[in-house]
Amino acid sequence: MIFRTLTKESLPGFLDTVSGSYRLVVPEQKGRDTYAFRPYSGFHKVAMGFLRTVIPPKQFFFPPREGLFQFTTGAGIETATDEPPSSIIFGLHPCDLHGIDILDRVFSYGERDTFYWRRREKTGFIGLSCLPDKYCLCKSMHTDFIVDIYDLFLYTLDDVYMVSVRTALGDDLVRLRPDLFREPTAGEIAEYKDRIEEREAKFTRIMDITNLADLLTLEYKSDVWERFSQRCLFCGSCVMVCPTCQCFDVFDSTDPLTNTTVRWRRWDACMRKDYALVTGGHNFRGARPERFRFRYLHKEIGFAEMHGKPTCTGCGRCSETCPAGIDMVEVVRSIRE
Amino acid sequence: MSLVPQTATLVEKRYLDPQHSLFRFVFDDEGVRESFSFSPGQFVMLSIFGVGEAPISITSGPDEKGFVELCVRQAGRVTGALHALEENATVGLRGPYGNGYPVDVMEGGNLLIVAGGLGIAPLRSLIRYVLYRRDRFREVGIGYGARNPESVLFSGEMQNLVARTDIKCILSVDSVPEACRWDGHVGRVTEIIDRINMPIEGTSVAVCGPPVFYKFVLEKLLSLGYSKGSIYMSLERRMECGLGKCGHCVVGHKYTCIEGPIFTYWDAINLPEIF
Ligand SMILES: Cc1cc2nc3c(=O)[nH]c(=O)nc-3n(C[C@H](O)[C@H](O)[C@H](O)COP(=O)(O)OP(=O)(O)OC[C@H]3O[C@@H](n4cnc5c(N)ncnc54)[C@H](O)[C@@H]3O)c2cc1C
Ligand code: SF4
Ligand code: SF4
Ligand code: FES
Repeated sequence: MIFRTLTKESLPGFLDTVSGSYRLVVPEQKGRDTYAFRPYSGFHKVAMGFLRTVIPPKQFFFPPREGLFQFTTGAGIETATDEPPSSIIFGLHPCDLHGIDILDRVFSYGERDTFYWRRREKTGFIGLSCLPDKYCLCKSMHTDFIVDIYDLFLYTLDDVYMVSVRTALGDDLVRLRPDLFREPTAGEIAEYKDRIEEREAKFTRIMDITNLADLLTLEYKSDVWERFSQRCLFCGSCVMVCPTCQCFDVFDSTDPLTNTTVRWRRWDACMRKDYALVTGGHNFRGARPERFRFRYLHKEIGFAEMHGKPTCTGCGRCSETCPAGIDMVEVVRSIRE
Repeated sequence: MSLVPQTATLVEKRYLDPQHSLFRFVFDDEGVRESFSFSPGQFVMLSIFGVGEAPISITSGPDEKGFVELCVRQAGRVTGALHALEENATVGLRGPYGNGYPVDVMEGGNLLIVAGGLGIAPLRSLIRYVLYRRDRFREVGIGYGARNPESVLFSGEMQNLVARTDIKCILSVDSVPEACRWDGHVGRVTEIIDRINMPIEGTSVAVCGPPVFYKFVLEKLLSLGYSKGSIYMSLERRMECGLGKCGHCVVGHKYTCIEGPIFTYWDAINLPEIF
């Protein structure tokens, strides 16, 4: 890892150049307070101050709906042969980079998921520092900073970005415009340190996750689950917006004219009523409290047992999105009480 | 490629009873046909193109090369479409998936196999594994329970096992209709566990059957003093991928498709949401 600085005025020129060599994706403002990752169409559209997009970056490697292969009698099975473009996603905050790290683990555990990796392997990341709002829980989840996954990371200072160049791809990007980057000065290093402290002080909401896995196990039968599940609409929004939720369904559709069958996968949500329903009518998690509880248990315990860390990155999307106003902090607090 | 099956041809379809048939498939690709190997208790994802996929245990033995056999109950869309297929039809198969029975742990000891109804499907593979290397096991007992003589799957094969002297195999049915001939046991499957009378020490028990069957058999085995760690059960869950990725098969904190479907009773009771 090496550090360089890039002046704020130079960033547009840098992104223009990057977009000449890669498919560049950036955060843009969509509605009053909503943001989305979109193909770069000029620096004036880049929402530098955004905190979270509605749909997390998982959409780029794990699209909401994806054709896996097609089958026709005679031709047999055919898979897509197109090469995904080399891409760079700009503006990822530490939580979203952690989210990608978690998906990487899921999609490489056991047999590698070729559909995920064919796009993921061709994508580089430019991280961007951020200041927390009232939904951010990364501090509590220990995802408030990151030392891997990204290729370049931009820490915002007063006049410049302190740029961490972590990988050879990051270096390739810097070398597209070597004229824009220089060694950091002692003053900039001091400013960088001050910024870390200033950011620390801005975390107002803390979710205490000490021994949370144990508490969730001990409170498995708690009426907290019943209480929250009465409010929950089971709309699945919290799952769709979560950067680490990766459940999917597999299904076929057949074109009646060509008789071509396409096998699809699409995002699914563990809160859905028939998620664990098997033939014969037995549902392993039919009741509302069971379905509500499962998401918490899986995020905090199940995944951690298997992959070594909980799957919540504290990005705050679920709490901000939930139409019933269900907030993870409140759920966890109720479990602790 | 993950999630993409290999095409295979249905070469033989054997009627077992009105709900169940045995299907024999041969992979179309010669390389796959030669290299496909599995252990007893593993399963495949079966595709009927245009309909979907379903997880099905491999019921042929791992030593039988060149084909894969599945014993399937007509239960819904995919399994229904399979039953409607004629010989020579093309299907998709991917796998094998799951952990399978821990045959390396079982070898050297006694083995008790207890099946109920369609639960014989994965256990038939284990039985075939044992028959190919009978000398590696000490005492072998098999108990198979079905509703009535008509619903005993693979009855010819099962009768052959009953006739063997190196295996103690007893068949049991809940009841016998009047016009039926039946030499086996009539009553509860738990009663034949007593009659097989296997030692408790040094015995692995492989159990597979419907939920009520599990309930009674497990109770019985525990009352006889078998350790929860020596009882292996096969769990059924909804599965969409078989690869530990889609999430559907998670029971408690475990992915049934990769950490299972075979769990010891001890591991299983430590999973919430087990039944
Ligand atoms: C490890 C394992 C081994 C199995 N082995 C056999 C076997 O050897 N023989 C046999 O006849 N059956 C077996 N089953 C059950 C078989 O998978 C279901 O009967 C089958 O999925 C029903 O699919 P369907 O499309 O016909 O039914 P539908 O009810 O139309 O299926 C609807 C959907 O639910 C899913 N689904 C429904 N039930 C199950 C289920 N029990 N398990 C997993 N997914 C389900 C299907 O994937 C499908 O997406 C096994 C199940 C598992 C998990
Ligand atoms: S977004 Fe809120 S209401 Fe919708 S499923 Fe999630 S917790 Fe329930
Ligand atoms: S559970 Fe909520 S806060 Fe945690 S990563 Fe998912 S959307 Fe973000
Ligand atoms: S079947 Fe998809 S995770 Fe197990």
